[in-house]
Amino acid sequence: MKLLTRKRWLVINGSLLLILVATIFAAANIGAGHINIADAIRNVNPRDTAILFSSRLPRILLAALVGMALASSGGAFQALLRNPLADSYILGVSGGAALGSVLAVGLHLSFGSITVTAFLSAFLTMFLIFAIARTHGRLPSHTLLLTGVIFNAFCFALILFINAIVTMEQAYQIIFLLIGNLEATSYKTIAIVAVFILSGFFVLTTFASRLNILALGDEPADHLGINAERLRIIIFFASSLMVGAAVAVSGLIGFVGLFIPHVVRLIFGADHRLLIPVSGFLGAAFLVASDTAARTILMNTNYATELPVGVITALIGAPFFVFLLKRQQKAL
Amino acid sequence: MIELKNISFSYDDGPAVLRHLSLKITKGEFVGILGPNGSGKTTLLKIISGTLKPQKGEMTLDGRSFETVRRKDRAKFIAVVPQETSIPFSFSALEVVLMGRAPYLPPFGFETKEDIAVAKSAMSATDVSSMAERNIQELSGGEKQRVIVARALAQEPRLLLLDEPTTYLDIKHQMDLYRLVKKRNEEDGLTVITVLHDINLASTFCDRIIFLKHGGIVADGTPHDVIKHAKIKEVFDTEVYVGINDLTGMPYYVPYI
Repeated sequence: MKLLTRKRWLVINGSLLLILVATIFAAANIGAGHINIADAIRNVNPRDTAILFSSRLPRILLAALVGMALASSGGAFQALLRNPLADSYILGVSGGAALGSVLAVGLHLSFGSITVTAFLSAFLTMFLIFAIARTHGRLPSHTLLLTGVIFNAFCFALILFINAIVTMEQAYQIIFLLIGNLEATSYKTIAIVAVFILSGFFVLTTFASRLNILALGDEPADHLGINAERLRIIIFFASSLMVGAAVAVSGLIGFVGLFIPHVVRLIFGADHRLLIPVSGFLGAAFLVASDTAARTILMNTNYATELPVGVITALIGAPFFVFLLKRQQKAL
Repeated sequence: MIELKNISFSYDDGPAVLRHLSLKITKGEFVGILGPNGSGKTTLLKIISGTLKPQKGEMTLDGRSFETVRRKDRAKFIAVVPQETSIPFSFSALEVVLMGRAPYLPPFGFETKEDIAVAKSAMSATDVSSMAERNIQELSGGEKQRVIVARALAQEPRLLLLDEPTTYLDIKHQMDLYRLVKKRNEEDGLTVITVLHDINLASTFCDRIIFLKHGGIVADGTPHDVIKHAKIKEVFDTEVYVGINDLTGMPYYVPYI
């Protein structure tokens, strides 16, 4: 693998950003109804303008943000836990956020309040997990991992409980949340989600070179001048905020947080200075493309319906996961 | 170079692991720390490396109080080679060695040509230049440990700490590793402190041997001073035969029933 220089970093990230923009542009062009983007932007045709700005664009932007959050936080969690099979949902914040959404659905709250409830519960969960996992002021990998796994299991038990007592229609809505689904939302919501996700992304990228050292272990990191304890706490909070915001607006979209960092590692190597930002951009493009497929693939068939995007990401991600596992077995 | 005065340490509220230990290491020494399991060898090394903080006592690094030395500056002074390093990602060997330059880089920086030159010369010193592009996870135990030593040398340390670095290596790789460290010690005046179990290896490479028991120093001197039948019996509670190797003139031991 070529060594990372500032030039290589800029070229690769710049290219990925271009790919993301191109994907967004292409996705805006694709949909059940045909629109002319140029006309829509110039507001020549009100129908086209409405489709583009009230329906497609908010959903595409949301997909890009969520994809960025899941993929870059997945890469960060893998370094934090020193485990390449970790993903963005492993530390339990996702379970808390999902529980919040499901509770809001069960209580017949409006769509907007579902997001708010989910976000608040993600926030609460984050502090709860931090308080439980903290030992002697530190955040050791194994207690963090165990706390996350147990917390997720607990939240899912509650989710299934709620699912059992609500109406059929609500149960249907809950299933969509659990598979992961993107819907057009207000620009205000997008702006709020963007603040959390982009600032988290900035923090992760800034600390990426220290993640390389953290991957060696806490003691070796200390010997190389890195404050591993403080770094763990920073990464935990930055990533958890991103994941919480993502789950609050889109439910549990699987595999993006696992699959994208691995693809990036296969192509560009393990250096986190590249891995974190590139995963973010690639994750964004991947989720935009997947969601475009999800909303169009069945439209011209007899079913004439949309799929939840989680179906697409899992259909692509799960076989890839098996491929990774086999590869790793071969290496052992 | 480094001085410990009256150091006591215990884990949490457990019994004392080190008791009123004092030790002075001067520049250019090659020191071996030996002792039975649980004697406090590794704890002592972790205190010297700054990983653990002693509850009592004082430490100075080049005359400066140890606590006032910033983490990054400490990393430019002291490098550590652990018993084993597990690296969960597929970094190349050169990337791992370059991590030794971390204390010299700004927070979000890229290695300069000079950093790369330092890393490459460390790799040639430990004979791993040919593996620069290889995946660290695919190297053998001996190769990987030499890459880790190269990473430590890339820190350009003045003090190198080794914590039983050859536990998982065969005789040839044990000798190779200590030989290359000895070379840096003799040529560059690098001070070395190593914890090890093998008294014969210590006799071969160390010019000063410290025996530790129950968290205190029970012997401190040249191999000839301390590798003696009565001393080893006292420290390790085992019958041994001590002889002199005719080829090197250094003492060696063989345990017997």
